Amino acid sequence: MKSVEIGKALTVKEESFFKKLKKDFSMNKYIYLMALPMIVYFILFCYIPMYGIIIAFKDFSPRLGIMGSKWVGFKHFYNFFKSIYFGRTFKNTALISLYSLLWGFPAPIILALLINEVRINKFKKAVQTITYLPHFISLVVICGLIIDFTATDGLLNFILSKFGVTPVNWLTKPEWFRTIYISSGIWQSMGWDSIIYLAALTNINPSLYEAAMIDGANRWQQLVHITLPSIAPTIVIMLILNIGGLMSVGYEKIILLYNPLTYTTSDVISSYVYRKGILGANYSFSTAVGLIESAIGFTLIYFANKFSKKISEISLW
Amino acid sequence: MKIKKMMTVMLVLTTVVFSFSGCAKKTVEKTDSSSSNEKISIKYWVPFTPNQYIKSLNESEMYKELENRTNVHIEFIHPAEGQEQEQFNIMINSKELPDVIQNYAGEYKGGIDKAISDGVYLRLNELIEKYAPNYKKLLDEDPELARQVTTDSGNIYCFALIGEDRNEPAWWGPVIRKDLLDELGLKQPETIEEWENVLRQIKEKKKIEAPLVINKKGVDGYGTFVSAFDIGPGFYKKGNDVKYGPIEPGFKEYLTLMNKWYQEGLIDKDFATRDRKSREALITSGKAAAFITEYGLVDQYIPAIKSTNPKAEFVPALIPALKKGDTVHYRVVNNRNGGYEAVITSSCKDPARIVKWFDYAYSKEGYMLFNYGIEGKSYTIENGKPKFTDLMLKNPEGFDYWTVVNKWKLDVGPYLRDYKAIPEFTKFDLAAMDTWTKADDDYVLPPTTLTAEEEEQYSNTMSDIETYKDEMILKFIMGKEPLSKFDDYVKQIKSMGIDQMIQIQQNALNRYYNRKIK
Repeated sequence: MKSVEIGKALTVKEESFFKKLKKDFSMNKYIYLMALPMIVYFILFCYIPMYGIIIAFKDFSPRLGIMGSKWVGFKHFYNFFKSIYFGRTFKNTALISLYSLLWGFPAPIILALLINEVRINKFKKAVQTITYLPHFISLVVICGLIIDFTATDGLLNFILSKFGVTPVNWLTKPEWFRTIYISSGIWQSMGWDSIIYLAALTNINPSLYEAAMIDGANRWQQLVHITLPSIAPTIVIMLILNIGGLMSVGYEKIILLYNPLTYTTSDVISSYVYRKGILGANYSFSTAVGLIESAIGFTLIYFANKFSKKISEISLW
Repeated sequence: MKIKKMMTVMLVLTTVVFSFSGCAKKTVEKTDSSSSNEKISIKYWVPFTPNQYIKSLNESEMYKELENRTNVHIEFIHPAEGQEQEQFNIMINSKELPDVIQNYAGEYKGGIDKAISDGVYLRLNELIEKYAPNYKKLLDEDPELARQVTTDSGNIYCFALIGEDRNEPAWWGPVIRKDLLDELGLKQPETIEEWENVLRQIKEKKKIEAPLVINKKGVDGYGTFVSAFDIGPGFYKKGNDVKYGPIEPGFKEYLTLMNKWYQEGLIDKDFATRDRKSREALITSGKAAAFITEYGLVDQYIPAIKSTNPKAEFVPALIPALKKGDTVHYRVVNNRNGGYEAVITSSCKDPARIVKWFDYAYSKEGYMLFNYGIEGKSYTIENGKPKFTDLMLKNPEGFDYWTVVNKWKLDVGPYLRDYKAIPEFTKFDLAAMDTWTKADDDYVLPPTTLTAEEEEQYSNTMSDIETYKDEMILKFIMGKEPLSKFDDYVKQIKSMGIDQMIQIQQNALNRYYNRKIK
């Protein structure tokens, strides 16, 4: 008797899900249509290529193809872990991304809050444009600028020498690499990343501020008690996504900025793989390392999400 | 991963489009059409640097003339600049191959022999025997050349750039500012000691910021300065024994010297972070007095530096030796196989015709066409010698020779080249060739090849060794690591497996000498 009821309840629920979907679909068909290209994009370029992951366990040879290449098990993983540079690159990757998150994550939030407080529209727009600009400059150019500025006779040393600092080439100092890498990263992406927070800020109901003003809250109190809690979901989601990318430091900027002298702090997993894998056409090896990175990223994002769900009820899924 | 896939898809799409357009023209006749002279169209993959005058080799008047003479239409496919390696890899993976691949063919993973046994490239021995009399003659006359276009297992695999002159001069070496030497009353330096003195005086008396510019890695790729210590910059051979320069005792002396020069400020302080542009800026702004380069570039530096300092003058210096009269054994070498190798792929429907077509470039008429272009247009015969016309020398559209060159002749590619077939060498060029070629080149390894297994082991081990070596060289030079640690450094490289790598190179060298050439 009871079990029948449960079964019934289940089917009813399932029906209602499909019904809901159908209803939703007929109601929002144009939105679904708009989403279609992205869905196709992800299927074509993210899901289908995933089968290529199997070459991490093979000795990939172009002519034999993905299916025809020889299976080698965990050889490439083993090669990576036993390399004398595994420890160093792992540590560098972790530290660079951790510090990037620590310093780089709050920057766009603060910028967005500051822009939000500005009341003069012209000034606001100018600030926004100026802070977005670096985002549109090619990375190669950015790195060229950085190299010029940090050279012995560069701008940075010119300014510092006014304060009595002896000029050095900053990019040959391993202890400064992270600082240069992360601060230039913040400079480049802060403006652009603040857009999402600015969008969230416009969604806050103005009546909340009015009510707060009537209660006598000053600007700071409004910020702490209304603005921040209102954009907290956005912040948390962005944080979870960022944590997922913790172990993947892209090689492009690294290889443009590093040199053998700073390897001790600058050589990350991806740059190591670039030297070893891509240049030598060792696709299997780079896929294996990419897989490790993705696995770590997925684990991190999973636990960050779970944690956030538990304490703030905000989560990705 | 995503991007790579996207590029594959795009590349496949473009090749499909290309192959459709090619199909229309192609006469499908598989049986020995070599005797026939019907028009065929082939796809030819080759990197090319476009300029305002010529956007792609499809616009080359020389190749159009060649088409008139041979009835072979070439459809050139140029990979995007700077992405040649990746695009080559993707092309090989995509199974849609052009008929001919030039320049990157040797990058096939596992080597040329593997490419032939995988059925990607064609073995050309029989085809050359039958259809390429001119090329065959060159190989027969020059065993060194024959060895360099043959793999270890005896496959002739390519048509290459071949220097008509068997002893083409060196094109890489040290250059110094003559005006500074003259003002200080110094002779041109020949030994390390003289160099040190010259650099020091230039630094002290002329207040030159960076007297000597060295490259990013701290060691010249062609061994200038390193070779003074009787070693090579990487793998080299002494007699028939392969050695690895960076672990030899001579290398410690080199590092000691560089460290001393660096501390004294005789070397550019920022060398480790300089790219080519910034290095050139240093030279042309007069902040440097000596550097290591190719002569062609110096011709460009001269007008740049003269605009700020009309007195400035460059001269080539001898590749320095340790003691006066010592012979240096390492310098840049022009292999008999001058590179730009073109291979024929298995996609090719009519290899015999293409082989014949390539062979034309090594014939008498082909030699004139490739080196000088079209008679009456790009050159005329004066006193029995070819001379470029104003079209090449003083182009009416205002472009210089190097901009127009590839429209009317071919600068580099698979043909029999006369290196003197350029308008004229400057006084500097001639002096440079003469000066730099005085060094010996018997320590330089010939172009050997590794087997697929060796290759895997080699690239795996060497990438770690190089990482460590590059890092330590800079630390030694810049004094971040004392030179007393050199022995530990050697020990570390040995523990990373250098002995095995030397053995691999040794075996490859032995195989090279034993290549079967008739």
